[in-house]
Amino acid sequence: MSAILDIRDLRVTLRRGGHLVRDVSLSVNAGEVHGLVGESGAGKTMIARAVLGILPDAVKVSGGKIGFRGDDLLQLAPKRFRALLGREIALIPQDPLTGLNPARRISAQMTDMLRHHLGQSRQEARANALRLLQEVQIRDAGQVLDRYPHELSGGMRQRVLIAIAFSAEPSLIVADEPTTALDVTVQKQILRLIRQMQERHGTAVLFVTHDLGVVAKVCHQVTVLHTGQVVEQGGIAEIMSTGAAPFTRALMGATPRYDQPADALHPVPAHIHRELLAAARRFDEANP
Amino acid sequence: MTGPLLQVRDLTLSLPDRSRGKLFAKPPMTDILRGISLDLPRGESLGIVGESGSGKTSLGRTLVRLYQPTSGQILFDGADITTLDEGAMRTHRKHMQMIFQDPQSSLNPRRRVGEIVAQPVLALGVERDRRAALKRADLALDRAGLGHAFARRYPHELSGGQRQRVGIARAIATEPRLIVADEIVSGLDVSTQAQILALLNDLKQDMGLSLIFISHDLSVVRVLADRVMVMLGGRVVEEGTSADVFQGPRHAYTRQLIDAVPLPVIEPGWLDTKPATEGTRMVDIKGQTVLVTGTSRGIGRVFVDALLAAGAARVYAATRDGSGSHSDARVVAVKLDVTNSADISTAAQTCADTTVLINNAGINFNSKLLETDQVDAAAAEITTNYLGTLNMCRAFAPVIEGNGGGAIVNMASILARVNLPLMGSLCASKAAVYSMTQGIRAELASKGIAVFAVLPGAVDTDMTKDFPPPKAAPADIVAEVLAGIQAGEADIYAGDMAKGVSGGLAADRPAVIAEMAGYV
Amino acid sequence: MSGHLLLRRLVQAVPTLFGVSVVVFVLVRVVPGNPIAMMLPPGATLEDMERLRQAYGLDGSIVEQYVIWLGQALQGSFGTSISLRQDVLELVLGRLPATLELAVFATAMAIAVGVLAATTGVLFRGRWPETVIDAVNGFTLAVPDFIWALALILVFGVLLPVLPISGRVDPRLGTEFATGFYLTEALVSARFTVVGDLLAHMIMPAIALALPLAAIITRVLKNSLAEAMVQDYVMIARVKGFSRWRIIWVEALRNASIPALTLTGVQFTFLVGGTVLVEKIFSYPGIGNMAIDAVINRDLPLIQGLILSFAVIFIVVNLLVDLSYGWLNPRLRS
Repeated sequence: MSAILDIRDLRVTLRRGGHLVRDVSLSVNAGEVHGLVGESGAGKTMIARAVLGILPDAVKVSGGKIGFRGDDLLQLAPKRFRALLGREIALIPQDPLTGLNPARRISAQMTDMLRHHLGQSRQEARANALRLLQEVQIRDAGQVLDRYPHELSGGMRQRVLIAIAFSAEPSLIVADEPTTALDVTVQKQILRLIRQMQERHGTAVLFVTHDLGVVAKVCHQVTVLHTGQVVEQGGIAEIMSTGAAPFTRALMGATPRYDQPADALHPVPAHIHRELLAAARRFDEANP
Repeated sequence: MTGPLLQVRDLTLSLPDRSRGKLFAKPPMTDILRGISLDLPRGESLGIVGESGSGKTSLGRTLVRLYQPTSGQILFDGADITTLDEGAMRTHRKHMQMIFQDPQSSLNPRRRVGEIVAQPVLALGVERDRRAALKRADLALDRAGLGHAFARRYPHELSGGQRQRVGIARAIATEPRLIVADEIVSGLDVSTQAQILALLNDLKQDMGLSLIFISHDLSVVRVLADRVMVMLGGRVVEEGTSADVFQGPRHAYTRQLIDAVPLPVIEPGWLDTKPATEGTRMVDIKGQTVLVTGTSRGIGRVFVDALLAAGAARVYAATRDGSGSHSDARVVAVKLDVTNSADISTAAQTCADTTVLINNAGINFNSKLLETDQVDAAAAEITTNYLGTLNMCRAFAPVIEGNGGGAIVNMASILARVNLPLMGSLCASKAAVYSMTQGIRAELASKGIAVFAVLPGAVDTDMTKDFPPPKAAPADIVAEVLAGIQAGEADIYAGDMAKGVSGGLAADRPAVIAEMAGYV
Repeated sequence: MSGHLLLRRLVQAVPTLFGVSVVVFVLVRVVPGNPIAMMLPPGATLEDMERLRQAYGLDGSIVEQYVIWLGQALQGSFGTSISLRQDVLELVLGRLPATLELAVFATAMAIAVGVLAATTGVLFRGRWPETVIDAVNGFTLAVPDFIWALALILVFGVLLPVLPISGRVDPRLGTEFATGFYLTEALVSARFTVVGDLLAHMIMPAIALALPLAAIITRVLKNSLAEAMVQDYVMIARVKGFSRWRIIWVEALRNASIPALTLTGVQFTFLVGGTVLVEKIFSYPGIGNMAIDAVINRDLPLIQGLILSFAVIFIVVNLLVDLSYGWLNPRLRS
């Protein structure tokens, strides 16, 4: 199995100074869901956005490479990079409510890429959009195509966004907290859908989340992050085992569980944070 | 003082729905909360869980009288606060505080933390002197684990967890007896969340607080709450101690919710497991095309209006003679006698977009089984109630399946489960309906059609005029039926009598049969 | 929805117009100045004046005068101009098309310039084109329309005399028009020499009126575009591989234009108000020009008629703005 995405020593830095991602390496194989886990400020979203080339203006990549099927995305000319986006690399965003343009019909948002990048005719693109909506299990797909986003529920909108992400059969999908804004019953449906689609199309998925429960249910491989550093990396079974890194186990201990109500209230011990912060400081001293 | 701190009876909240308003006309009302009752003992915590739109946030705000309930009663510390105006509420406000979901927007960015925390202390007259109020604020900040050094900071200098602690400090500064906390840990990292939860638990112990904790996160509620209330569509679907509800959820919807929580445990196949709802899934009436039989009177007529209110896209109102008109353009009158197979096949063609079928038509001759001249009545009851319903199911199952799935709802009766000799032949026909419903439920489960049996108690209609009271109002029964469909309850016991009998049958079947036998 | 909105707005317009008419009626009568005295030759007797006062209905109390005026206005008669001795309605309707064509042309120009400047500014966020646009914009905002008018006359009328500095159309062309909408009519009948001449007359007053509005549109639209550009749906469009220019125009512009449009609706009224001075400067025969003369001559009926027509323009334009919200934001439709 060859890696679709191969990130080596990625470093993301604020333009006014200060590292956000500190030499992170990870690789995602075809057909694999790779979880990127951590608390806020761990750098998981920065890594995802660096892959997609949509880092905020105040932030830049200051080192490393992002290998994608043999190319280094960081070295590609903007035009060639844009040609990969959508067709080879796609995104499932966090918030289905803001991920769709309120002023455009679903059909327009589902077909624009198919028409403008893949050169499909209006009819072809519409037929494909219809098929995709059916594939993400939307009833009355034909009617949904003619609706505006506000006429659909949150779960429906996330299905539409998943359909858009898969529409050009990309080899890599970045899913950025795709179920955080959803109700728990809808979350389960959407997680199931992402896994089904990913398995069916053999897509590699970089799955960003803060929720260890979600990780346990959908990921094959996991990278645990803290202050932009890799705390631990490995298969899901290792990460979930008692042999995992202290920080990972502390995160598990802080996660409330309805099946173990008595032993859930354990904040991450201060010394674990301290050690990881000290490591980040050492990194910054060595790499100003 | 003894007795519960908060007692709520039959609370409803309706708000105008401006999205459906017409020119110059008052917008129609939408029910946000429907008949909520609860008791909150002193020093206890009640968790309210539900998904978006369940009404949990509205309930929290109504309990502390940020909203004016439409009907019902709220007793706080023995005092009726249901209709108090803002002036009269002031004396109670210091005893009931609310912590909001978004600490960012509920803290005035131009005020120092100390002033923010002292603000309710002054405004509610706990202290008249500013310095004394600031002193209380310092104390509250200490208790909230921030330390009074934070009093001089501004909200934007704080992290999310710290801001939420300010929210907590502000709430406890007036030494309240009740705190309503609405989604206060959502959006926080788990390690921060664990700290906030531990803090709330400590405060509850130390200050003897009663706590209402509203959250979409079942695990968080389980950890913090002594009792849990599960809400759906403005109603309480299940209530009990946390241990009971989480270990043995009685309601299908509760099971579904719990089942959907991803625990941090590797569990191959978890994603593909369907919630354990006995094969019946929830059906949202909104946007459905519903065919209701027997709409000329009684429950059927009430169904039509209730379905419209629930957002049905179209309602085929079937009557034996096809008569009847309705002011709402979504209602289409259909001529359909369920004993006439030609009528049924015509209806299956003209109402080809049906997605939900409600088999409501039925007759009752109030006849005992062995009275000499009554066998015709028994035959008629079987023909209409049983065969009519069966034929409708047979004709419409393919229609609904062709429309991508939906639901079939068969109106049986609680008398399907125990015979009331006074109307023995009716009971037999209803038992047949109930039995048949279970059969088609199994057959249709794989075809995307949820099948519901409704077992109401006595309803106050023409048909039951000989039946002894108490009888439920048709509107209440219909509301319970629709709630049951939306919650995915396979067998819907509608009305107190039905629930009573059902419970009695489970506990002491012979006693119920004996009691019914008494009505000869 | 739009039918309801139309009806509601029309109903709301009644008290607005009523209020405007009352305020104007009272104001023009308490302001010092005697229209009758100005009409009569020197040496006229007091009786002459009294007769004329009666003839123009100026002898009763303000309330009486208003009731009479309102009664006639409801029948479509707005009285006779004191200075021009013609029917007010005819006068106003005769001049209105010239002002409308000028105002619409100026607004269209302002929108085009504003949208182009705002989108270009956002496209080159943080680079020199944005700095230039912001600087020019700040300067344009600070200069009022009549200064632009004078500056334009100086440059293109005097120093570099390439454009006519007064009137609406060159009388030497000898064209006849069936309506007051010269430009529209010339375009429809394909008389392009006339179109050229009309535009040459119109371009300077239009620019003077358009520049301040264009600056406001640029500022508001640029801000709301910048806001729209960080929305998730824009991020999705970027990840679909679309160019920044296309994203601005297809994804962001429609969502960002509501605040700018609201403002354009309000500012259009100021623009029409601006015609008063600008038309005077360019001797452009519109109602703005006429309004100045009416005020100087204390021509009470004409002033009232003119201000009411300004009010009607305001109501119609804002109605159009309201109706276009539905097009821009589908959520407002249902």
